[in-house]
Amino acid sequence: MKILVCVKQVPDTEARFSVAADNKSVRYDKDTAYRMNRFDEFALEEALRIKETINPSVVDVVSVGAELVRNIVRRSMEIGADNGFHILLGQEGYLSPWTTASLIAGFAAKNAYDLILAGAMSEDDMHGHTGQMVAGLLNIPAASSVILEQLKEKENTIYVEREIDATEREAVILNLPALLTIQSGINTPRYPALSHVLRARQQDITTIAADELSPIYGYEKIRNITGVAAARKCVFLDGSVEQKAAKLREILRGKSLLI
Amino acid sequence: MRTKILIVAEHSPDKIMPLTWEMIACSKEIERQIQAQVVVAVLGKDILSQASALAVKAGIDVIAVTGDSLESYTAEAYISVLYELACELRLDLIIIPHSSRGYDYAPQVAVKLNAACISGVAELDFCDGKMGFCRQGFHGKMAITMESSRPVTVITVLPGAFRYDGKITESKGTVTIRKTQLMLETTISVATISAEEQNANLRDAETIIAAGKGIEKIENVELLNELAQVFPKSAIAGSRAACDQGWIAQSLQIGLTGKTVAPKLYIACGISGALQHIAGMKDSQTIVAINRDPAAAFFYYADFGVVEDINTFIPALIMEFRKKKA
Repeated sequence: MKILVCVKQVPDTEARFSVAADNKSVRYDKDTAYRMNRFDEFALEEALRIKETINPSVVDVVSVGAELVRNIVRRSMEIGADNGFHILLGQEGYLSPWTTASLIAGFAAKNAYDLILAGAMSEDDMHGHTGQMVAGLLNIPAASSVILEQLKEKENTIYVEREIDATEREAVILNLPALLTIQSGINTPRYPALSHVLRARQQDITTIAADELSPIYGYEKIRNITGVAAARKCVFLDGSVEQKAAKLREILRGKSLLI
Repeated sequence: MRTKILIVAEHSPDKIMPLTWEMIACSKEIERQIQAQVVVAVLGKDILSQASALAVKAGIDVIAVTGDSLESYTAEAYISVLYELACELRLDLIIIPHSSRGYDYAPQVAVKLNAACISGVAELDFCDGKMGFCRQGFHGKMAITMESSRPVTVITVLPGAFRYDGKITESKGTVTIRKTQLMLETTISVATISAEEQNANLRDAETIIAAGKGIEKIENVELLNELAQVFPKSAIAGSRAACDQGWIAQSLQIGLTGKTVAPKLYIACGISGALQHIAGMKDSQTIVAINRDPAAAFFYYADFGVVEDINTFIPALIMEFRKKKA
């Protein structure tokens, strides 16, 4: 089974940034910590579990972005991916799902994968579109928000259950090759084993220039980026920790919300 | 020239879902700004009565697409049918719900049509007659207004973002029936699996204390349980991230992929405030957000904000309650 996992690097939830003067882009502070998109950790884990049950299998991992993105490709290899690929973009900043998907599809088309996995969405942009777009561009079937999968190797199909909401799932069988976007909670992602970490350090990451893959740009453009209009006027409690606790208690008591 | 808009209805086997009405509300907002022609497509095997009822109630033209391949939802059938409709009707804009079904097929419809694709649209903004679509990004901290640069645009509309005024129009819409002979080639629909509704106490709770990723460790759930003791009819819940960690049971998850609640008091502990979560609790009466990140998006939706680490603030709050009790 030849599997590709698409991973994205995201800034930490608490990272600080500023909006550019033209209000069309943001710049994250220099000390920003980046990590692997949480949903992609589940996708990678699912791929590794398939590899452990179907022999032989290979797990490739690919990410799109500037130089910095190599870190999560390396991290994926430390966790257990066999090969790492980095589609290098000169620019930093916002990438639309179309751009990312066109690059991944361009790469994947050359490598005949049986199965492509991606996270259900990214934590920062929350589009939830990139995976399905890759499938559309490759003209293969896709299922999103997958919470359970079972490969049927003999039939060359995959059974999946998609999460609709807390109480409902949809079960479908897709022909391979197929693409799944993986919902968080499908498994418990592992930590890197020392042996994998040591191996990954010695391995090369294959870099591919974005321009070689005929990317699609500019189908959508950003008009402006502004602050979110507050739905409620938030009163921030001030003082020491104890003072804030006392104030909150008073407010809740005033509203008769306590026993 | 009139902008041709298609809304793709969301429906269960027996009823049109409220999301469909929200998309109609979105299209009405467009019609107030520009010349537009709106139709709704209902896809399914036995959906004629639903389609007719919708045309009557909403005063909107409906296309009912029927066929055996549409008996249950598959992305493959939806993509194929919508692609054909879009080409034939020369659509400019396709409105799809940002639901677990909607975002399953919308991106692939956009790919087939070589269309712009904008997800999670929460608001519209017109600038010199040009449509802008507002969505949130950067961990929910910023509002981004996007424009399409393509002849055809596909958008997914965030649940709860547009509200239908409930008016039933006097003029009835027409219903056009189309039959599709489509045969599925790569997908077999197996079943819809429903689990028992659990945790009725979440629905009845007057105070909900919700944990997010910011509580950092399972030991802190105990603290939240202790805190819950001071509130009448209280319950513990969690964000998707907290449930995925196993700190909180999945059946207690609040948000688009979990439960929707509206208690008297909602205390969010270390939850970032992504719209996926907010959609499940924004109608709560009083909302308190506790987060060490002063820029956390949750503060946009809260009445009271505490910028503190959960690890220090919750124990302090429990102490405060104990002190006053003694």
